Amino acid sequence: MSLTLIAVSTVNKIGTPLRHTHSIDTTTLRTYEQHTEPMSKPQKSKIMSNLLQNALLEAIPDAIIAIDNQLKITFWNHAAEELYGWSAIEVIGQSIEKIFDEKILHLYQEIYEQHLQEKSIWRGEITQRHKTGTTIQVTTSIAPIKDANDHHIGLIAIDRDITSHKINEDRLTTLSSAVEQSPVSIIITDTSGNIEYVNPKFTQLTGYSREESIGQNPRFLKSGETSAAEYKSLWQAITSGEQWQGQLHNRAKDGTLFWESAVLSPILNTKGEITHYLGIKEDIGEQKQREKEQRALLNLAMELRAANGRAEMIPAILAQSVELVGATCSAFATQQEGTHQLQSEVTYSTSNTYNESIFLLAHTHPSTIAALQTHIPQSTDNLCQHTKDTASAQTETQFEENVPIAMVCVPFVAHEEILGIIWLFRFKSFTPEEIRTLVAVADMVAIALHRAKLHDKAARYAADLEREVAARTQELRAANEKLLELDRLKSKFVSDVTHELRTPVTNIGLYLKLLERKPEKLVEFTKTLNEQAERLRTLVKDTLDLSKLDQSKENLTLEDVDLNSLTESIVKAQLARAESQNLPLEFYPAIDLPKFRGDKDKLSQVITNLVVNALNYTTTGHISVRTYQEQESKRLCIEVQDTGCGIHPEDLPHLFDRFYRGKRDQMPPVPGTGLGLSIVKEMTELHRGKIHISSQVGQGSTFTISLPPYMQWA
Amino acid sequence: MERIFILEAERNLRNAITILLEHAGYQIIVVSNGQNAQEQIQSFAPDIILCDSTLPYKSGLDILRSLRESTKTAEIPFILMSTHLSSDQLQLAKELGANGFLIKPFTEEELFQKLKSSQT
Repeated sequence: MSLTLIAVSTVNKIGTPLRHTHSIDTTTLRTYEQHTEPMSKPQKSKIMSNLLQNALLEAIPDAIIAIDNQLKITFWNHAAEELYGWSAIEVIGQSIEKIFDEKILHLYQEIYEQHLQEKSIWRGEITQRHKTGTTIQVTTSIAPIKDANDHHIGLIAIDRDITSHKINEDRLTTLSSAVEQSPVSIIITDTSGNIEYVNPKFTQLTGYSREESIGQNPRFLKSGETSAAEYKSLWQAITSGEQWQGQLHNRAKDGTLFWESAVLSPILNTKGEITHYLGIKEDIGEQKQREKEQRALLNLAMELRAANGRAEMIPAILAQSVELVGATCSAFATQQEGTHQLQSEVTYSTSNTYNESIFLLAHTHPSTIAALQTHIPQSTDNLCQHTKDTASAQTETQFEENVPIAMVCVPFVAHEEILGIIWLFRFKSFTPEEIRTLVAVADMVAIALHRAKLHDKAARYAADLEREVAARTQELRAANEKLLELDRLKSKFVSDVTHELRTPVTNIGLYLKLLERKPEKLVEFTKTLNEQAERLRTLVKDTLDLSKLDQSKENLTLEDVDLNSLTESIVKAQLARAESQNLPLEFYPAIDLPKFRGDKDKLSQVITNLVVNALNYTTTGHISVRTYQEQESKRLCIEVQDTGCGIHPEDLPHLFDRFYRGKRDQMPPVPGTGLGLSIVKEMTELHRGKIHISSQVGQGSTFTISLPPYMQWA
Repeated sequence: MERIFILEAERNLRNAITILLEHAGYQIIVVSNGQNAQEQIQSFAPDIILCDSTLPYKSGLDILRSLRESTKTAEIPFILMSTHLSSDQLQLAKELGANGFLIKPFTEEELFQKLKSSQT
């Protein structure tokens, strides 16, 4: 059998099963087989029918190809011509592999031999070749052609070109995977803003899964950091069909904030109506972070440079480090010299989330210890985990929320010396990049701290030196002034002493001359000469006493002195002189007067001088001496009261000046050197005593020496 | 007979000078302080004044100044006695018109010599 007639059922659509195949008898529709003999009527009608079928097959937009058992093409409709570029004339009778390729031959053979034995129809997508050599994607349906005896006599293939469809599909697949794999986050909403699609990057960035996001309005990402006005301008733009571009600060599922640069645009259909909104968002967190880091580093560098000493640097270091990594709080600590224990100096907090105890935890945390040992920053993801393990129950309660707190300890090391550390605390773990940045910060800070330390040290040295110099200068000045004063006093003393010596010496010379002139006045002149000699003697003795006081103020011979018996003996010694002046001299001792610890000889001289003074300046009345103990202060007092001439107020300030004898003419002249009271004063003061004087001109004077009780000599 | 007016506070020295000068033939008036010196000198009208620098009530230099201000006493020779005179005091005394100085301790010879030289 050489000819095969192909009948095609009334197939309307590709895709509906081709249930019926009609075998057509050995008549060709478009054949080069020769039918030369005349046809009968039935034959004619059959031909008509065939022509009709032929027209039908030709009109079908799908390519229809029939082949016989030898895989030679027996039918090739118009659509096949258009699809593959070959005309029917060219292909009818040709073996299929000549038109297409061997793959098709094998496929057809396979289908023919294996598949169609069981099944009546094979469907699939295959790649065919156009006459020009280009490939064409087609869906093909292949069905067997059987004769009246149900024998296979050929195959019919109906090919539909799906090349453009395929291309579209491929393009869609590509687009889809581009969207899916996009490094930017993509979000598509309907016109009311409900999310219809999010890509995996969105999920990664926000932490919300596709399921969680679909149906939500994108505002569920709002952090509150982007202003309402910004959102308003966004919606105004996209609802009016325009594109909006800007930066949004959103909040991820885990609460962290992130920056994204967004391009939002409406999707329009062919009629220009908005059907969807498309959001393309790029995570600019890193970019933002880098900007922030750069800013923080720059600020830190500037602040460190501008800082006036270490104290000003530390707050800047804390503030900028916190800014750098977005920490919630931080603290600066130094190691105490010797103990190496850490001591917080300054703490810095952007919120009141933390209390002191977090810093305490940080002090002993293994990360801190490691940072101190290794000199490089060390971090932990959960400071409180360590707390749970090691800290006391009391501390534990302060972290009952069990919020993981990440901490990094950054040591500042210059010349192998730790100049301080900072701790930075926040909720999110510290990334290796951040730690690398912190290393750079640490280097910068360490150099600045080292510089400040040197500067402080130098400044301190300079200040110390200046103080030292000033103190020494002051001491020297004081010493010099003291020396000058001493020198002046010495000069004055010498001048005073010689002044006092000059008159008696003159007198002695003159009286000796007088003796020569008037020997008859021997007794009178000798008395005067003796007086002058006595005056010189007293002067020399008092001068020596005073100079001894100057030389050895500390050389007191201490003993327990009974002031009553001492005073009594002095009074007794002066009784004869008092009697010669017709002056009653009385002593009233206090009962139970405690003993006084002091230098007996010097105290004796004090009392003697006072009693002699009283005798010198009193002509009528009486002199009384008494001892007593003051009730409140318990001081021991010796009082010498006279009814003498009294002391004129203008003389009072000079009473204790050496050689001061009063400004007035003394009538009758009073004996004495002018040194007695200055000796009294200096010796009393050596015993830490005080002198009190009350006096009235013409009435008399009272001199009181008061000595401290229970004298403790060092 | 020459008249000498003596101002000296120290009793023994005053007596010694008085006795020595009287013995030498001078007529002497002695006072122990400077209280009324100007009036006393004016009424006594001495040929020479012998005055200690340190006197109660009025110093020797003050007395000299007031004497030199009065025409009646301006020309009377004035000898200033003193234990010590600073250069300033000495200069002042010369400016005021002191005719001689006797610095203690002085001897009888010095005393007479000053009296003589001050008169010429």
